[in-house]
Amino acid sequence: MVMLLLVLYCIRDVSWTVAPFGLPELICISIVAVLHLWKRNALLSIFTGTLAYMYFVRSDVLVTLFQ
Amino acid sequence: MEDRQIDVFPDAFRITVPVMFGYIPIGIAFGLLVTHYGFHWAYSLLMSLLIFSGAAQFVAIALVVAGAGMVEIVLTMIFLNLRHSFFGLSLINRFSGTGKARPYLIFALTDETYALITGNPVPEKTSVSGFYTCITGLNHIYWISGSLIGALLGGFIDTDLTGLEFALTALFVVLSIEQFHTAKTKFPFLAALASGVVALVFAGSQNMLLVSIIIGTFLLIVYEKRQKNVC
Repeated sequence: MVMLLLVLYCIRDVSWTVAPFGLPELICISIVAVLHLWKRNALLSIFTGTLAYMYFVRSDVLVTLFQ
Repeated sequence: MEDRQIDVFPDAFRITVPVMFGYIPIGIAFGLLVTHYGFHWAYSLLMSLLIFSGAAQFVAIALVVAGAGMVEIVLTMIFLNLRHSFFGLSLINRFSGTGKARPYLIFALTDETYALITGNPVPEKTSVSGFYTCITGLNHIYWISGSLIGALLGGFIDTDLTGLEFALTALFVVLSIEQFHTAKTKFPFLAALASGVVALVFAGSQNMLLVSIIIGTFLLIVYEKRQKNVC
């Protein structure tokens, strides 16, 4: 139970009402989850997800989607 | 007992290599995160030396940065590491003859060390405590080295690490999935989702963790009681 609570805790400060509507978080959590269900390799899942997130928060790819 | 001094190191090292490839990269990520949040690199070293629990260290840093109170931090740590009290119990027999090394073996037990100790026979003519201490110590050293490398990298090289904090979220997603695979009932996951969302909406992001743990525990107790009444 506590692990899932901690996932929610991590995304507690995401603003869902302004662009990009928490999409970086949702997309990257999906990447981690899918990759982990598929390969079961913790390191691969964590690093891929984190790199993707680092990309999304730096580029304005997702923000421009809503303009 | 005198002829037991066959070197345990080569065997212990060989079986801990896979753990090394896991602990060092995650340790580096932890060290980077510690300095990313503005802490001195020594915190990374000390936490890895004295706490030696991956998930707990990541959470502790996140909680301190979020300004969480001591009660919240202590409760979260207890919940997070409760599983060790259960699988630690199954090692009572194996650890019974380990003498002076015993307190250290108990302190430094991790999921990976547990897997290695229970999954590998002690080589012949070697001491049980020497073999276990060597495995445990090596894993501890990998973890400390990783977090020290990460912290030094983060402290001395001026790189932009915006977004690195997602490693924490990713770690918990992975651990949730791992738990989901081994869990007998899936109810705790529903309870976590429900209590998490309720706590976030009604208690706000500051108190979310503490409130959701309380609601979640309540839900689990009620569920257990009802299960028993049905049978």
